Amino acid sequence: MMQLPWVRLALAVGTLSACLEPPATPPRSNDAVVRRIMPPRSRATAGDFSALEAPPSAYPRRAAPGVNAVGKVLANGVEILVCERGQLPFVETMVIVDRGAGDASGTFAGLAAWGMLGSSAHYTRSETVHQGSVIGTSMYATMGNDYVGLRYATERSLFFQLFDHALYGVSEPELPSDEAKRYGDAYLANRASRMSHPFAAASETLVGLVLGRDHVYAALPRMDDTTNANVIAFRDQNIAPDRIAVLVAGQMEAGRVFREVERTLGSLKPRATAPRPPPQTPPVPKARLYVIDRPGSAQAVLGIGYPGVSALAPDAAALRVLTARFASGIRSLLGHELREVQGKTYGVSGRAQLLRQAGLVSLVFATPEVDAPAAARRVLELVAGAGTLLADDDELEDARQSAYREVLATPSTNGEALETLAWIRGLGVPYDAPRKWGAQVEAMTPETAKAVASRYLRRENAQVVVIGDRAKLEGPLRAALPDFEWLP
Amino acid sequence: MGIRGLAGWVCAALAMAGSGCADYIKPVTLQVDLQAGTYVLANGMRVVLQHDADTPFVHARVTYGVGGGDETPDKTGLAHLAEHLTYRARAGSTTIHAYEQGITDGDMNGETSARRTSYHGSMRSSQLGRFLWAEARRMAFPLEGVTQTDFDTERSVVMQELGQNYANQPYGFASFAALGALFPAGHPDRHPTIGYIDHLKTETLSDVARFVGQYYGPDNATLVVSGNFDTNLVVRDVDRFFGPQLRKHRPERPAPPAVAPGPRLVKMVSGEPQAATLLAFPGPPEREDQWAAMVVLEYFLSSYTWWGFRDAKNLAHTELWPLRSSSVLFVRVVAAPGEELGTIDERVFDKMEEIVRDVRRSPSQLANARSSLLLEHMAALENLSARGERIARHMHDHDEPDRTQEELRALQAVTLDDLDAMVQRFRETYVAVHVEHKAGATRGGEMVVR
Repeated sequence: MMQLPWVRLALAVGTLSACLEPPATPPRSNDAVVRRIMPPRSRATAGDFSALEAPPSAYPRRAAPGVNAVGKVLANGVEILVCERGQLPFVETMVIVDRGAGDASGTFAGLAAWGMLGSSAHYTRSETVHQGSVIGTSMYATMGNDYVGLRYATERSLFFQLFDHALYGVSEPELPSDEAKRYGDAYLANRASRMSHPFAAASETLVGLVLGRDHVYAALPRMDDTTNANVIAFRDQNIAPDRIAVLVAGQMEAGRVFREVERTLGSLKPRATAPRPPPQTPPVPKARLYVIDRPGSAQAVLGIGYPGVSALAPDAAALRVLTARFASGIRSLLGHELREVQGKTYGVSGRAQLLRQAGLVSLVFATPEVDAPAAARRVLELVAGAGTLLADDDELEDARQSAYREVLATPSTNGEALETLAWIRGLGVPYDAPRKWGAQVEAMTPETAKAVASRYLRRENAQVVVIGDRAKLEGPLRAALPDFEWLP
Repeated sequence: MGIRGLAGWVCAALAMAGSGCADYIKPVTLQVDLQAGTYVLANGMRVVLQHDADTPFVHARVTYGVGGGDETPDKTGLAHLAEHLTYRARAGSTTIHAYEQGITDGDMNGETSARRTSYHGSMRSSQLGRFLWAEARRMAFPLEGVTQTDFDTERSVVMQELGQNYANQPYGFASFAALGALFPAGHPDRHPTIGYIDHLKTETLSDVARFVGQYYGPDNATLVVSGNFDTNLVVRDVDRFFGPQLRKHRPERPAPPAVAPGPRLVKMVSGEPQAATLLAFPGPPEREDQWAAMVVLEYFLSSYTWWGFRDAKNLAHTELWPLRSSSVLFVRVVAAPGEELGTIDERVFDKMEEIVRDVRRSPSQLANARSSLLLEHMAALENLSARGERIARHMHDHDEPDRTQEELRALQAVTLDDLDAMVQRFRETYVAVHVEHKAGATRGGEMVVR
């Protein structure tokens, strides 16, 4: 077993944000017996609210043990990362292959995920409940742009009994007769259901508008190619031991996991796989406006997107901090303006999507159709001025903390620990990237914010999608955004 | 250590399910002890402290025993509107909202259900004092400084929330129609917590003030603090901030009128291009042991209907709603072109019968489903926010901070007979909402029953 210091670094970044607060005091001895609380002798006088006149000062910071992970790489390249943590007797496992939709042509995108789920679920079905269910919790596949994974949780004493099932999808070459078609159809049904909701439709449309409809992250798979033969071919071309990582978090000794993975996957023969395609830097789009007609809409749903950067790019950390400041929560610039001041929306959902090959910044919100043109114009104005945000220390600190919370917070659940590990391993970011990322966040200045905003958050590259009644929206929107190319 | 979890093999559970230990996987019994401590202030406010030294964070929530089920039939949505509006209360020139949002590295929010209203946040432990102070301000002066402009703006936000979650969602108002048909006039579960649009349009700041004045007192509240904190500091500040609060003496709740059984059909129209049916099945409230059977049935039904209907090119979706004095299991199926909605309803019942038949033929399915649900139920406790929510719910329903073990036991005790009886009862009590396409109608649907 070898210790992987990068994992320790990766998961210890939460400590960095903790360092922004005063030094910790050790836990008090009374905490251990909190169950035996006696009603305190009250000094309160009913109706005397003098203690509520001003907020109190901060409590001393509390120390907590860090979260670490250890890793091992088998001779054939299979990587194992184990995060021993938690007080509850269960373990969460994720088997990932660092190949995703972004590594395949449009017709094959996602086949790896279906193959993994289909074969594993089929193997477990006869003994257990039904599709994809195992003892513990459902086994399900995540089909990402940059990696695919098969994930489940189980009570710790069942962990090793189910382990073979989780690995089946990456270790066995065959599929049951109709499995690929079945899961391909399931994907289509899921997608149809998702796209009937205007927020999801706006988000997905933005990816195509910002990155281009032919970009691997935007291309939709063709289900008529979802055959067993194609799934197996995709697997043969892309899945090899050195592409597989087994991630485990929970009450489980790392040594036992290493031995078990060695037993089950250690005999997989190394073989060459197709190299990952180089990142396709998408062309920067001109400002465009696209209306999706949805008669009978009670609101207009607006999506506004900008080209962003890959998770591996030097500007990734700064762009995320900036996005958090202008579009994350009610206190953010857009949340405050559109919701708290104007009452025109329930909230603005904003995020910087930082993927392996590319990225984008997206904002989605709903507002009355009659207000949509003004809202679009106002959001574009506010984002254009985002570079002047973070001018004072409080704003900068708020934004940093939001960024920490989103990406680097100390994992508090097995699932969060797995997601951090999957992010590192699946995107192929350098092992010390989180630590550097934290340092970049820390080093951010108002000047950095301005520079990043001027590079990416440019009105001339903004993409606007509006979902609503086209007859009501088209004229006012075109008048409100005259410099935007209209997409029929 | 703040939580202890144990697990062990139990073959007895298999024997009960009619199977043997030769089955592929044996179910397990899970034991969880949250090790929570409680006390009650002189003004009746309950305090639960649950310590967890493994995290640098703390979650805190103040939960009031009031929700949509406490409103009168002519003024719905007040509880939720009040939750929104109290964020605009001011301490000096600063709103409570701004104070709480100013908690760096925190995640603050509020939520209203049919039974409870919660204000909560997860934060670094150093910020806990500010949260307690802000929540005590809210309790003492819930609408201080709130102007008519604040009210109008916040009502507009709530209307947008209603639009986003119902009016602009496919068939969003079908659930409103179902509740209206399931429950008689005057029943607390008859209306949705977010309220009816025409009520929201006419309600006033005075209505909210009157409502808040009745329910938002310490004697109707529970404070839960879960995570890493200094007990001495918390006990001190809870006494300073919440000790002076004055009781509000909430009104007695009348017993809900009886629900008349009998299947009913409601029709409505929507701008969605395809027709759909929403079946609503009434069940017991979340606080009763029989709720576990609803959870198990929904577990099966979500998979059986999704896969079963998907093969026939329908989209199916299930949801389980806990309400004030009952619960409702919803199954929504979107019709294929030209398909009769009544035929789909029958197919949903066929799926339920199929579940019962399958479990009878292979009892280990039920054992496995229970085990999966047990683990999910327990695993949710890892998350500080979910843990705090569960403690608050247990306090309100049972005056105990930790009923996890009882809930796990109830899940483990669900039998085939329970499922069978529930399916038979559903046949007699369900409501079907048939939503047909109509050009020009809104996507959420036009309500035909209130």
